[in-house]
Amino acid sequence: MSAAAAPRQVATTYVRFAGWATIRLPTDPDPADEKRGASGYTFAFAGEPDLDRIIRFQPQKDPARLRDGAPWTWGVNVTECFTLYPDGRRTTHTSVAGEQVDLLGSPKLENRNWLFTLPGWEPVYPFEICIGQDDQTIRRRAPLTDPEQPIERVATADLMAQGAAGANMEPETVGAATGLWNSWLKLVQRRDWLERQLKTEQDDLRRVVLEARLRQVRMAVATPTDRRVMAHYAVERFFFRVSGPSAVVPTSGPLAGLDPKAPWTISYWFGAWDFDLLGVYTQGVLSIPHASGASDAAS
Amino acid sequence: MAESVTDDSFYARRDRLVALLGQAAELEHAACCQYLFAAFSMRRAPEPGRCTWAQVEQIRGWKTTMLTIARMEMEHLAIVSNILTALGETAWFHRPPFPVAAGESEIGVELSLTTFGLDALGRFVELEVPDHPTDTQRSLVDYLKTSTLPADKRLSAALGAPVTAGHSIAALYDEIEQLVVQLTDVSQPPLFVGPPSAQVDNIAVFPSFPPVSNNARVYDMQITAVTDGPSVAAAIKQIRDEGEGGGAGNAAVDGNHFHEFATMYIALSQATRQDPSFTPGLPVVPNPIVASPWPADVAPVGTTTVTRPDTASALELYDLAYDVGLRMLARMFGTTPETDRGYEALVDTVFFPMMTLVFRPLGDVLVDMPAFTDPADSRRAGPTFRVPRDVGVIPHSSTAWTVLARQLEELRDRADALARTATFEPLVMERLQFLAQNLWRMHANFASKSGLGVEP
Repeated sequence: MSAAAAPRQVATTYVRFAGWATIRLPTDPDPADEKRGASGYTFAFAGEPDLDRIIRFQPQKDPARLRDGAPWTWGVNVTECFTLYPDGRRTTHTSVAGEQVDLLGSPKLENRNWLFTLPGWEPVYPFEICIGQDDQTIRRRAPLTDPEQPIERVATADLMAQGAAGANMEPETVGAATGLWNSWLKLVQRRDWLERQLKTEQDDLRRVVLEARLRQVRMAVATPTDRRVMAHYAVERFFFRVSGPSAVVPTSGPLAGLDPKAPWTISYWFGAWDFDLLGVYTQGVLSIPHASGASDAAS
Repeated sequence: MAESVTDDSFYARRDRLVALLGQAAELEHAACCQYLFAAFSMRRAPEPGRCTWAQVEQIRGWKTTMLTIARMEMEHLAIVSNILTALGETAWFHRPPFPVAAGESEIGVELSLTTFGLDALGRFVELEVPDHPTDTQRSLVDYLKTSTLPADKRLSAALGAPVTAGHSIAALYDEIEQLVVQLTDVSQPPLFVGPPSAQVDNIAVFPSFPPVSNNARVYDMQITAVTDGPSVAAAIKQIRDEGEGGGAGNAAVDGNHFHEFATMYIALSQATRQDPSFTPGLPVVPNPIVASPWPADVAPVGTTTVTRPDTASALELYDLAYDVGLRMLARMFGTTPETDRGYEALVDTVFFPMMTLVFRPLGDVLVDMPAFTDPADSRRAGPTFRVPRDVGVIPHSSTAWTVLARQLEELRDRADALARTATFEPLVMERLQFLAQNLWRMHANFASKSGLGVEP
């Protein structure tokens, strides 16, 4: 993002969000479109739907694609929303906290077995963020190019402009955000949970899935440096403009006055990858300038 | 196997060594293709009367093992190619077309592309069996002797047959080792005259993320460079430890290919005894080929001509991809990074995109395509692994890039046409469309990196 232009003297609303999402994706060296998993360490087990790479910020809405046993609540929500004014005032919008945050259009991490970018540098594509609902909806797309091209024809520079800035090991970031400081211990507890479930599960198909999950988790527990364990600590950070043409913003209420035309910015990260639950933690902030002349809004 | 030469000259023995390395390359290459074909043919979903979900999970574990072993055979082929390069020879990617009858095979084992099952697994066990009986081998033979399954009889007979001296993969590598020792004696002319910078190792093949070294396995592969007698000995030991489980007189070690296949065989045989209807492999036709455009050509014995037009087009796509992939590998082993500005383009195309975005997914999806137009015929197709007429190194650098880019362009255009015009089930079409997108990008990346185009 260019730093050449001085920021306009307008208010800016910050929508902070966090929570647990799912990405049901195959892992190297399986092909990017592998449906069941074979050579990597992620799988679609008996009776489960195919792997589809889609990032789901509200996975609890699709229980058929969600595995049991998460020690957390699924879903990405607004954690805080406030507006900063040019004169230094700050107004907090408490009614927005808790609103659901979603990514529309079946987004995926697009490196495609290192063809588009190296892993850790790929964009989420398509990127269209949606916060809230009804007349309080905030929604906007971040196209990779203008006009939009098919992703395989997008220049590498444009892919990387919206891509992550590498994947780095950040145990402190992950631990502070999730409370999960020790990945191996988490997996030991998961193993114990799966074993308890297996003792009492009567349904044949569910037993097959539990046994398959247990095999993988036991492999991880047996090798603390395995990628299944260590991937928990890897963080991918994104920072780019959200400037698609058809933004949706509230015209009334605490978020009235947001500028649908000026570029917004988003900064977020993925981390705490859980290969057994195919889950990932995300935390970020969407920054939205106000239109010039927009008045203060009550919280 | 050819009779041992009696001429004791350095040059005669060197010729013998090169010939044996060529045979080793052909066998590793053929093994890899057979294991990949079997892996592609494994069921991924249940089917009433043939396979339950629990059995699908069992098959998945076997598929993981089969693909791991296939990757290791690629590693073995790379190591043999490195030895040839170190001798000043070119890497060898030729091999006889499938099928090769047992009586025509150098090692007395049939080489054939067939669906996964006891028949295919039995041949894989034979391919990897050590020359000297191991505990695993003995337990396998004992198990087979008690079996009443007709399918077990063939392997039982094969393992019980007398081994023709010198006609096994183990014997092949034994002789290679002995010749290298003889030829690196101080009294001999220099044997290793190839440039060390032409060696292909882990660092050359695998991208820098995550950082790799030549001392660690990456996706079960550790490609070893060779530059002298001791490094060749270490490389051959690696091949033999991974394959048959060690050289002459060594006990088999868990995890070697023979052990894995023998274990898999026993598990499948037991599962079949418990459930005679269990069919782990899809009904893929054996040794599929596409009809030759030349009327005078006759389909080789043992092959199956796939006649459904769009399936045949998909097989031709695979053939072309295989052609391009082998030519790129030949170029990679036949050049050095510092003398070839397009070296990075080769590596970035072959590792990983060609492997993981073309060979593997197209192979997986070919077995979902009907082989014939009769809707009542449920038999399916599979990759042909047809070796092209010429997989030698294209000798002139600028010509090589032009030819390879043009072949990638053809691959791109054929994939695009197939994705637009074929009439397969939706999941197959989805994968073909994904393939077409990725081939567009692969061609563009290659053209850019080799200096022939603009970066996308």
